[in-house]
Amino acid sequence: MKNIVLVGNPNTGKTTLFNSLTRGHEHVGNWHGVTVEEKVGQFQFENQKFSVVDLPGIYSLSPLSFEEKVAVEYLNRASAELVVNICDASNLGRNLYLTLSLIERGLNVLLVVNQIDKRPICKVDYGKLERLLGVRVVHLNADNKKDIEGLKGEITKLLGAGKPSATPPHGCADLPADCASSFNQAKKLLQERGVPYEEQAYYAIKLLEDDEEAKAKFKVEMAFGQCEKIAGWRYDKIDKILAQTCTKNQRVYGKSKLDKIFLNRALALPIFLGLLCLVFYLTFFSFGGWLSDCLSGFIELVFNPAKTFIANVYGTQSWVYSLFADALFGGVGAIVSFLPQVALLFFFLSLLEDSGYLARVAFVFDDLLSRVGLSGKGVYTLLMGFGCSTTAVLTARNMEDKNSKIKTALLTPYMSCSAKFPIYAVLGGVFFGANNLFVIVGLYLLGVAVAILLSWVLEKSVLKSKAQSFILEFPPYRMISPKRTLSVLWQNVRLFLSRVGTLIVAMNVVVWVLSNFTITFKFVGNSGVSMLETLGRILAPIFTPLGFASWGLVSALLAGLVAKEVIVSSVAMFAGGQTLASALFTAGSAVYLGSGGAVLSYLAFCLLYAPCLASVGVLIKEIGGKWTAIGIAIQLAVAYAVSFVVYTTSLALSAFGWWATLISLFALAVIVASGVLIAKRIKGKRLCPYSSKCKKSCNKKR
Amino acid sequence: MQNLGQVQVNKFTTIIGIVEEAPLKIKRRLLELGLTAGQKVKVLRRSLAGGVLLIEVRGYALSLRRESAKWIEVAK
Repeated sequence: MKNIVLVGNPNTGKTTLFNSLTRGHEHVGNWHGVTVEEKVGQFQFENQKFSVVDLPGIYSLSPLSFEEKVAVEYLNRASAELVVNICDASNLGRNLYLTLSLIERGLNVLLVVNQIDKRPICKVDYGKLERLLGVRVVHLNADNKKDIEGLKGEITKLLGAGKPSATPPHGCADLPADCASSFNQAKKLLQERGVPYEEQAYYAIKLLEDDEEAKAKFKVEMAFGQCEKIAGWRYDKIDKILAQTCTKNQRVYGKSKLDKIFLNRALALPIFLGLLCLVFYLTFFSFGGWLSDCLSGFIELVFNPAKTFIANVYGTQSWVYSLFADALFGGVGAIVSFLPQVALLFFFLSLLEDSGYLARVAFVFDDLLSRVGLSGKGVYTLLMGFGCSTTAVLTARNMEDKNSKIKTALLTPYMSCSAKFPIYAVLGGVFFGANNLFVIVGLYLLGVAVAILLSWVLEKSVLKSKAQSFILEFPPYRMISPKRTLSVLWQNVRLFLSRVGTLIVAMNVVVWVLSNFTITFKFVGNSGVSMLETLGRILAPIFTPLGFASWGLVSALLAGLVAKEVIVSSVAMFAGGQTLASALFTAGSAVYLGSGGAVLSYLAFCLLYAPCLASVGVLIKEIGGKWTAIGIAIQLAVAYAVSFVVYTTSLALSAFGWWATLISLFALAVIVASGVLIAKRIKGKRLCPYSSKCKKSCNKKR
Repeated sequence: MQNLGQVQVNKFTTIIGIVEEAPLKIKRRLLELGLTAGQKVKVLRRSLAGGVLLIEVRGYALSLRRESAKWIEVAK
């Protein structure tokens, strides 16, 4: 089997090409840094097997952020027989910079010029480009089947011909005179250290650029300080090539008249918030709500006869009936009806991503996010968090320094993920009815507010971040194609159903067993205490101050640690024969909540308390066990505190009325604020004489 | 001396170079993206608080923080 690797600048269509070649379904988007890890796939052409690796986008072989490191390390480590370098036809000049670096590296390069936009900015003479670059050039549209077949043929032909000569076609012979002596000096240093001849030129250039890794690898301390000259040399070459091969029109890649609206100083924020509200409204209420109602009607239509049938055969008191009626039909049914809403949410998120609007959001929010030590690029991670934290955490690799990456990853679970929405809809819906819209929007905002506040606290204390550069290329606005729409919807429906069909069903059965059998494994029926009830009752006192101490709710939270959907299905299961509405308000029932304040407190706790098992796994992989543990501890503490405040406030409201509560809250805020100010003053005075980096505001206090 | 962060919006100017004090990693990235000496650049817009710039260089749009733009020296 021959190995091929896909390399290119961010957002040039690598993953689209990868999907086309391998018939894969990897996530793509009109944004830089969607792909953050290497993905492997295969294809077959004329009885030959090829393995393809898709890498995150890079601008050069000197990485800046974590996902770029993944790509460069792969290129340095693995020996691919062919490097397929993808360029965007509309931004060829900038894209060719990487191509030249790859050629200098002595890699076997096939240049693929991807024409994403129908009206290209450049008209290119591809034959001439091929001659000038000295590598094979193919131009195609990565979405076009015929083009892909052509590319496969080209790849087969190139790999059949074997590796080209070791001397790279462009070499480094044309280095400007003032670099040549340093180049020879660097080469000599490398020769002394036993670097093989083929790699000397490449690493010599790296040394001229003062590349930290090359310097460490070969123990070179000397600084050449010539990265400006090297970049100038490469771009001069590119300019010469483009002058002969490309006729450009006046359009600027990524510049759009739409930005006058979307980036307008006054309108940008209201437009973003408005769009977000619209997305939530369409997904959770109007259209999505209607679809969901239809589906739950359909589910009842199927499940009710089945339930009656089982009741007739086994009787309603048997464990078989309980398993099917409570755990499978009641529990799983409660989740399946949210399928349309979850799919819609992911669809809207992909719309935001594909349209190119997200880069604009990042631009608008960087001002705010830079103040709490994040980057505008974090917007992508946080928005993806509304879909699924597990996949979103990975995209924190877009960050450049470690502390920002840890922070971004830790904040992701505060974004209310799609699995938490059913909890708000079911429990909130029972108590608040139509007003539940405000409750849900409030909860989403609460998550975001807590995340930003926490980021600020972390920035000021243990996770001070180095300045992020936020160097982000603006992608052009693009229309989303119907084909892609369908594929996004289908992928998410499939993922959701397979998740419900495996993990959620399994968890429901586990919860059912624990809640229907005693410790001695006797079926509980109407009397007796189940295992889960025993455990729940032990833990319940901890939650009394938060307003929900019934064992069912507490054990639902425990089950929810595995997957958040299980909270709703467990609560539905524990309600037993009663409707949820009556169970929530019957004192003594397993899921007694009683008041609106208690419902809000429970919902806030569900929003904040801990990431699901899958997210924890990814967090450990990405930021290490220590920070994951700290993150979970913080989440538990924050959830407890927020729920306590919510419940106590609601109690105060009902006891003293609006005004007294408002006044006492205000007084409390004043006390806290003055405490913080005093602490800051004392701390400022103490720190000042030592700190050489003293800021202006600090000087005044001296 | 004028840096890119100080340039008026919507006016073309020419890059003189990246200053010595710039952190090496940022310096290399700016160069890789085509902000080399002699190139024409234009600031297309600034963000609300002015912390981020959107610039046009080599026929494409790029956003960067003013903190990074200050390393880029441009002609007056």
